[in-house]
Amino acid sequence: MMFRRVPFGAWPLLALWLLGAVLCVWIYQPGLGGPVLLDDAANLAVVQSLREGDGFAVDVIQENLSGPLGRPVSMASFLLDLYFLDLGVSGAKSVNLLLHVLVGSLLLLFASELFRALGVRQAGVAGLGVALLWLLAPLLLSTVLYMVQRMAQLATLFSLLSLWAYLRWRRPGSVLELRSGWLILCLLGIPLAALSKENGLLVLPLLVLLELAVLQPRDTGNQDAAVIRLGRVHWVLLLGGVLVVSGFLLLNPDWLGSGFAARPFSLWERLLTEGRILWIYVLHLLWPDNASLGIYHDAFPLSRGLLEPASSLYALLAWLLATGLALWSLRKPALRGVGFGLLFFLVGHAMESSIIPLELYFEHRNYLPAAGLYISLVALALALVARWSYLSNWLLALWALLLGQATLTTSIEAQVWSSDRLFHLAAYSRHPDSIRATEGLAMSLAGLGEPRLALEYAQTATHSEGEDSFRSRLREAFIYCRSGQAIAEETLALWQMSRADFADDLVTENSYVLVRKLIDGRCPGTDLTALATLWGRQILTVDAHQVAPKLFLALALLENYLERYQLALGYVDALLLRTPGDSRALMMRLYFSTALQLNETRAATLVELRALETAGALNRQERYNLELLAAERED
Amino acid sequence: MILSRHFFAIAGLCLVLYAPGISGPFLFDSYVAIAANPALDFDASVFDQWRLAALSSTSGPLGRPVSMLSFAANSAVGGVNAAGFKFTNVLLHLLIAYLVYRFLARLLQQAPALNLRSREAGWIAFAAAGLWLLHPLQVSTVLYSVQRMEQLSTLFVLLGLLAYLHYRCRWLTRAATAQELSNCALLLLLSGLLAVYSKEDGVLLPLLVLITELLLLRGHYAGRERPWLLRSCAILCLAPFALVLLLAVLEPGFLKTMYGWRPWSPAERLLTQGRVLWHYVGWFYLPDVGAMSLFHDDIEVSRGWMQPLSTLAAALAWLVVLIFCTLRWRKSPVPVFCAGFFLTSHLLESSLVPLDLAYEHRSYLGNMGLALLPVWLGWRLLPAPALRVAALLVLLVIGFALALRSYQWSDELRLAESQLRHHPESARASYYYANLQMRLADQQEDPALTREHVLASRRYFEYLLQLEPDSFPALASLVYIDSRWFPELDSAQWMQKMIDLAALKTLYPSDANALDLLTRCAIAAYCRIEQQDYVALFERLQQSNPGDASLLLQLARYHGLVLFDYPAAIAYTERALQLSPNELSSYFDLSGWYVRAGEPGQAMMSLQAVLIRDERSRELSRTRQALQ
Repeated sequence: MMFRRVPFGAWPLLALWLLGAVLCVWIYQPGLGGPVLLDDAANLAVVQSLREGDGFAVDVIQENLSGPLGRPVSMASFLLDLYFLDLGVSGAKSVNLLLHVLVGSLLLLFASELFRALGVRQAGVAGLGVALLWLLAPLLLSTVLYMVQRMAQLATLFSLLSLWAYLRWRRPGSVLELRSGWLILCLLGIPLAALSKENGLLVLPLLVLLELAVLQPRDTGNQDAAVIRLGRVHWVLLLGGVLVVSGFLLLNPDWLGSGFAARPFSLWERLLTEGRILWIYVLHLLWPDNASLGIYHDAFPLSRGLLEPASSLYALLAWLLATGLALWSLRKPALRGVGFGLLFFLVGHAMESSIIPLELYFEHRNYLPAAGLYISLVALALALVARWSYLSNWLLALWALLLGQATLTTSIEAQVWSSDRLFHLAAYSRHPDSIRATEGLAMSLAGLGEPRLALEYAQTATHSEGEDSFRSRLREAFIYCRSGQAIAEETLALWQMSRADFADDLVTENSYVLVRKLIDGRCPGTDLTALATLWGRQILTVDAHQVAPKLFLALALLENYLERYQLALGYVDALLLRTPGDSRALMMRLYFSTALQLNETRAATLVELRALETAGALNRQERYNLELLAAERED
Repeated sequence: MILSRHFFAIAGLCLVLYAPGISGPFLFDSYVAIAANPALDFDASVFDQWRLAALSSTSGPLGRPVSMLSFAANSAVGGVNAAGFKFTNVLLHLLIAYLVYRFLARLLQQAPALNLRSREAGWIAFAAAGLWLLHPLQVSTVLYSVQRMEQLSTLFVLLGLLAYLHYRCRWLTRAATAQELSNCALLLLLSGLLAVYSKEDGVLLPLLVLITELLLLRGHYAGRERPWLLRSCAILCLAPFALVLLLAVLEPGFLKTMYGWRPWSPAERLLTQGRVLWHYVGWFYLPDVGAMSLFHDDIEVSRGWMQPLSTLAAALAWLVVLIFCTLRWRKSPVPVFCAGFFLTSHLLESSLVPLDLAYEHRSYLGNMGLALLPVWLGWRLLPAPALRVAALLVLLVIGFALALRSYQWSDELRLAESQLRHHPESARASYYYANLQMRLADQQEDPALTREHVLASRRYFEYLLQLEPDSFPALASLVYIDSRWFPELDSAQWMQKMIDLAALKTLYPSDANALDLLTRCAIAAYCRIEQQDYVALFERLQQSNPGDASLLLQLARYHGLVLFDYPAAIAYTERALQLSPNELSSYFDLSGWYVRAGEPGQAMMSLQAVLIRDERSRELSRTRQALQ
């Protein structure tokens, strides 16, 4: 009834949406001054390097390694904020917030257009119902206020742009011209989404879903050849997509295998666990609870089998049932929106919550899929009202209740995200088993100048990991550095005996970051020579192929800082053994051989670098450095 | 429309009569809930500060967030300013009176048993609403800022009743549609929730609906009376009593647990309430401004049917009323409705729930029943000219009384003096007066005036000690006064008296402020409290009140701020937390001691317990500040 009675035109809708947007900005505002987290540091380090004249922005955009497609659109946007406009962390978070409102606006357009396609009379009101629930959902706050997750935002932005443009192109009565501006906009959105973050590629199956689940049934009876042809194209795309993905997996069986080898779970365990996690996402999207929100879910209990725990089986069965019901409801005109929304949610999760060996649980994975769940919810309300009109006001009240709960929960989260110490203390309180949360707390305590207490929590993290290792020592080293103190001799002594997995990504990355800190003088008084010697000895005990290349790079940088060029050159050689032809390693070899006056090595390296230059494999910074180093010799 | 114009006239009169009282200060509980509530002195540009303000009350099991939100709105517009709060209360009073008028007019006009014409019903409702609006008994709700809680609860209860009546009147002649039933149920639920979250007595809305249905709408549905509807209403009216019985059977000790430190038993409270209810009736029908007061703790507790004798008389009188209602509910529906509405509105606060015995604001809604009764009887029994004269006389009397009471409430000292004069046996009135004099003494610059206030304060604290010889508030205040202003006197005698009493003393919540004053006195340089006396007092109190964590917290403050012994302060606070682990403010104390002790890490970690236990995130802002 609410949707039938209320005489909503475009202007009142727009006014309500603006009100919602203002409310959203108001609620999020405290969180904009919040901390730098996890992967944010990498982007800030890049910007810092650029400021110090190390590298060129264009190289950063082209050579990002966050994902297989490099995410250049996202990187460009980060550089725009942080480097060119110099907005700082708070400014970058503000841009994220504006993007959130922009994505919400696009969702409003898309959902309204979708409900129109589904034959809803007050489609704009229904769209507004979806968009407001999405805009104020607390589960999405960790996407908006976690700077680096702009990647997910941009992918969603362009995906929704593409989906909306497609719906506009497919409006009833439109001539399906291939040169239509709407179709061009739709097609333009696809690569932009994929180049923001890889899950932007999901816009393709979503477009297929939209056409086959909503538009083709709507146009049933339409004899327009173009519409019929379009339907066939989408069926072909669907089958083609399934074949391509299956073919890839069959032809590259090691692709998944090698990924899972580095994870503490198997493919089967991941699938079982994701079944449970998806239901938790649903629960948080409908009735959020601050006590379990946040970015640290690394302690989420794995499903080891269908009955370990039994909820794995129930979750799986419930998803099978939900999918079955969604497919069934696609055949019922009144319930089509419910099925579409649910399938939208599942397709939206198909990349990150299925077979790819990523970590198990991140809230930002819901940024696009959440829209599907809310579409499903509002469509269900519409179907109920169509059948029992007297429920309309109750459903409106329920919607307001959900929105109110979401608003208050988001407000609390924004406060938690507003302060570094509060954030880490709350994260640890909510997830005491999480190693990352414990590490974060330890670092926060170290920031207070309390390394002793911080080390106690570092011990807790080590205990959770199950073994005292190289990683534990790194953690301790960071604590000393954060406290502005030298790494204790006791830690250095223990380091010698610590078991190390030099292929581990986390060990490698953290070692590299630690070296940068040591070089920057952030751990004053540390015996760097002892540390470099100690690491070198440990690495020598393992096969070079068992050592991650970046670790050799870190050691080379450290030895360079200590002006032990001979050792630095050795590490660079080891690095080149692992990554032959790596331009950065070659540049370093050129530098060290020049310093050591090893003319033959220098000449050979120059030849290799010139060959790479000719092949266009050097970036701008490397070309510049090459000319400098080559000229230095000639001088 | 004619009545609407009259209503505006009477509303204008009400505003004029209330005007002097608006300038009065915050009183009693308004200090705790509003003036001294840091959450209401907030930055309105931060959304979450509104949430925190709404959740900042510790009153009642639900925290009354709707009322607190309205206080926050007041504060955001005009700051924490008593006049602004009181002016809003007066406006709310006008709005509620209008709803009373609308409700009664509609009810009397539509009630099948009455057969009144619209104009007659309108005038009766108008007169009753006017009497309710201008009655001086309402002053202690309207000008007592914190009792906006009562007002808002009444407002939403009336909105619920009006919504019910709106639909119910349609169903007198025809059957309800599903849409109407659905909407009516939703509106009742929403108004009920808003009422309950304003103040818990909003929970009485369903019972008031049932009373209205049973006594005036009489189960008329779709053109005829439905006995099943009447029977259902009658049975449902008994539900609260059944609930209490069920609780008594399932959880026999629940009353004892609830009553805790109260100096009376459930039976004694019930017996006393019989008399208290007649007091409310008496204050309404004989509006003696002197008898009205913020405090009625001088009402004697009934220890048995004959102690005092008026207990039996009051109970018998209520029995007569009940018999009258049972026998005459069909023939005299309006008087029975008036009695039923009044008694139902008192069912929560004037029965078993262990609250203080009497407050005038408890009758705010129930006064509607009391206001309707004389109007109805006058209309039925008096000829028109006599009725007009009577109305004018009543208007003059209550108008004068309201003006007088409003003037009385315009100045705190005047109010305190008046209460003390008319309620000399009230310990609270004495304490209030003496304490006010002490505050005034602190504010004076002229030494002669200061001495005058201090002397008055001292005299009435000694008077309070005569009323209650073991009164810790009086003794602690005397220690403070003598230490600060009369060093020639022996303040140690009061301290010694407290130490003597401590071994057998059961602490009441009001004693916490007294002990806090003692600690503040010890911290301040001008107080002469020997360390061994202070420690002896608190150690003895601990022996007689082993579960009282506040004593340990006071000791922690003493050790931290007087002796600068932070490890001891930490140890006392940790012991207090073992006794009361859910007392969140103690964790902030603990954190503060750790900071002073130079252990910022432990200070940070002691706030973790706040985050874990603070389920509604009420202390988030405070935690953030403490962490900074």
